[in-house]
Amino acid sequence: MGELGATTLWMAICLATYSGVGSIVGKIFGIYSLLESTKKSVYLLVLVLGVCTASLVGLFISRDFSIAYVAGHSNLAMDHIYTWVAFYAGNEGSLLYIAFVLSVMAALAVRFAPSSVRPTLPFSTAIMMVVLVFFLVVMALMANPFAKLPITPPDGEGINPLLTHFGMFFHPPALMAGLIGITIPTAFALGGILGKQTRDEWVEIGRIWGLVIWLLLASGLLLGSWWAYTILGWGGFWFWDPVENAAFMPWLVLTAFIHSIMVQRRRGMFRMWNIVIINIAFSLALYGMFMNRGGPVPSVHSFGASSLGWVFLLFLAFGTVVPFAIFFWRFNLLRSARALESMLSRESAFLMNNLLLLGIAFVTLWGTVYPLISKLITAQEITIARPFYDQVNGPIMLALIMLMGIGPLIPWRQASVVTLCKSLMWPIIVGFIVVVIISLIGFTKLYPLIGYGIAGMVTTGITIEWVNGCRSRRLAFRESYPLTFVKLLMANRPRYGGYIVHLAVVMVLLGVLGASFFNIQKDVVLAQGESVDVSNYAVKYVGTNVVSRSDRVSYLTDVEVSRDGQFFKNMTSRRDFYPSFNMASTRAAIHSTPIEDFYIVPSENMADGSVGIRILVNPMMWWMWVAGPVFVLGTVIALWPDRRGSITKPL
Amino acid sequence: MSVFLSVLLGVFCVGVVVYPFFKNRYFPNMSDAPMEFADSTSELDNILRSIRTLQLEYGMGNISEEAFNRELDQYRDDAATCIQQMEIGRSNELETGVEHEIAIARLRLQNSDDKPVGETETF
Repeated sequence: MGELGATTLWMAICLATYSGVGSIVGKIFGIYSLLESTKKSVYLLVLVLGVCTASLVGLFISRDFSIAYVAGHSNLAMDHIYTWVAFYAGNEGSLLYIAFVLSVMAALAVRFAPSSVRPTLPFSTAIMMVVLVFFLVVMALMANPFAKLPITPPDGEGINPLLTHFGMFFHPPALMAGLIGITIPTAFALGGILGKQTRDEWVEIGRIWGLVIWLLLASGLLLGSWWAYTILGWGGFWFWDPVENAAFMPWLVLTAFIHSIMVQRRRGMFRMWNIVIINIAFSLALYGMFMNRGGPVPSVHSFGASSLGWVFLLFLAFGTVVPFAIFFWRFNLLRSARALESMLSRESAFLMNNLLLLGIAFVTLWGTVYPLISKLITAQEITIARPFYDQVNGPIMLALIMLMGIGPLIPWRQASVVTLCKSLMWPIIVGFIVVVIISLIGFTKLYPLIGYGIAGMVTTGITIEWVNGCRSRRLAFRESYPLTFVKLLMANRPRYGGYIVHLAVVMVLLGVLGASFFNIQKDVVLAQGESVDVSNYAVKYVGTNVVSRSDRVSYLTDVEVSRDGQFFKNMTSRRDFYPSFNMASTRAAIHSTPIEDFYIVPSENMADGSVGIRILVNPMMWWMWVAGPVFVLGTVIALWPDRRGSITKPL
Repeated sequence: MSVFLSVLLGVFCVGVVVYPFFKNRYFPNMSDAPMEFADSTSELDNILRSIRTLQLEYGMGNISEEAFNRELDQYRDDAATCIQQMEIGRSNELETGVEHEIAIARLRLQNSDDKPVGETETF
């Protein structure tokens, strides 16, 4: 099976190279058969890389330790369920996964490309293939997942313990797919301007792919936070770790893109801006992959670490310079159809939203690369920690969420001050009431007060939009309220899907504010039978069960929890120690409700039978995790195709 | 087994990649013909969508009647300009299509002249 995998890898290189070169040659010389043939080879790549991927998964299933990658990332004790995780647990496998995902996306992009971009599709195909060939060649020459060991060991080294978590089935694949997926809208944008299609031909397909990729990155980031919360044992969800930041930055820029592309779609504006933004997102995605694969900043996410950093750095330079060179080459052709008519318009709100998002991305980038810059200049590495990001990004994020509440209430083109004030009156009143109520309860910290006020304002604004929309439609069509609601949603999917996503952002805000400003944490060492009070909870340490397995020793810590003096529940948290990795992973015991999370995790098991425990009460964390499905729902609604097709299509 | 599967896959790939050269020898694919003018109905779609949004915004009370009428007029003007451009584009596209058909017919004629006597071909 290893031979099949290695052969298909080279076949994929041949097909991708042929497709990239053939597309350009076919387009320039007008050889239609060649264009058709290259299109077929894009589809074939899915088959060939699918076989390649299946070969590697098959090698893991059969535990073929003659293959270095399989021996390095699995062992006989590994549960079969983690085979899929082991497949991308290391550098070689994750590169194959990325190449396979890109081939699938490229095939879908080519197959379903709308007629508007068909004339320039060969250029877009060539761009996708350049990226794919890079990954395939790096894999074949420098990180071959099918490389054999000189001697087959009796057992493998095993999978990284931190990866044996349910979230790992989705978090890395979603993030890797999201990062590489940015290639597709970038290819359509650059392909368009290479083929001198400098109007809005690529906008609709760019918007669709932008949303898909945005959703993948958002899901990956949320799942990553959940993974950190439940397995890393520190009770937090976001550390501003360099690799976390590396995935966060393209998401921020893509968020800016999916807003500004709406302006181009609707008004033919921001043509240059959108190209610039998608180029920045692409560069940051390449930067993310560079950071994850031998980037110079140490990180907790060093699973894919390798000596390939310099190769990815070179490709990052290439992937930044070439798209911008193409942009400047066609600069004069990229004029917008219209100019901004008023600063008080939806377009201006989108522009402001873009600037704030880019501001957060820039601050994050600065914080991520600052240790390197300081080391280069002063020979002393100064690490930027969470307080920097919280202090700088926090206010910008709050301003952004406030704008999220105001923006949808401003009409396109031009708004009058009177109508805008009328629209904003109730959201501002409700936001103010929320602030008053929270301060009366006794919470007086400034940031959360502002944050909850903004959350109230945004939610009210969205609710009023729904209610007014339903009322207006009901007056016009005399339908029942449920039918009006559904029809309003179906007739304006991008708008109302967007509102649902905005509600999800508010839910995330509630979780972040609660856990960041009102959490209670206690680290204690308890002997058997001892108890400790945390907030209105009392935790009594019952005992620890030790279970030995071939690859790890599990310490199951039982505690009895009382709330307000009454028995509440028994909880069991776990700490697994892996001798071969000299590493421990934990599983927190969490009781989660919309009000608060009660979180308990063992940090150390002492020789005398006592246990070190971290206990946390995290208010409103539940909202953050529930936001995930709401994000998905909103994005799917916004993406759902209009079955009526073109509204100007003749019958 | 691996060698057999590799060879099979390789042959299949070569077959699929080469097939369009034989399939399209006499009939270039019209769908891939260079188009001077992209489909501009999407621009008109956007204008009509904007009008719908404008009507929704007006119905919801987000904009005044005066602003509604002013912007509706502007959108109508935009739509008229767009339809005019589409008409020009369509007529040019038609010309390109006719030229392309003529090129295909010439190619067919040339190919039939090259064939040995007695050989037939079904179009």
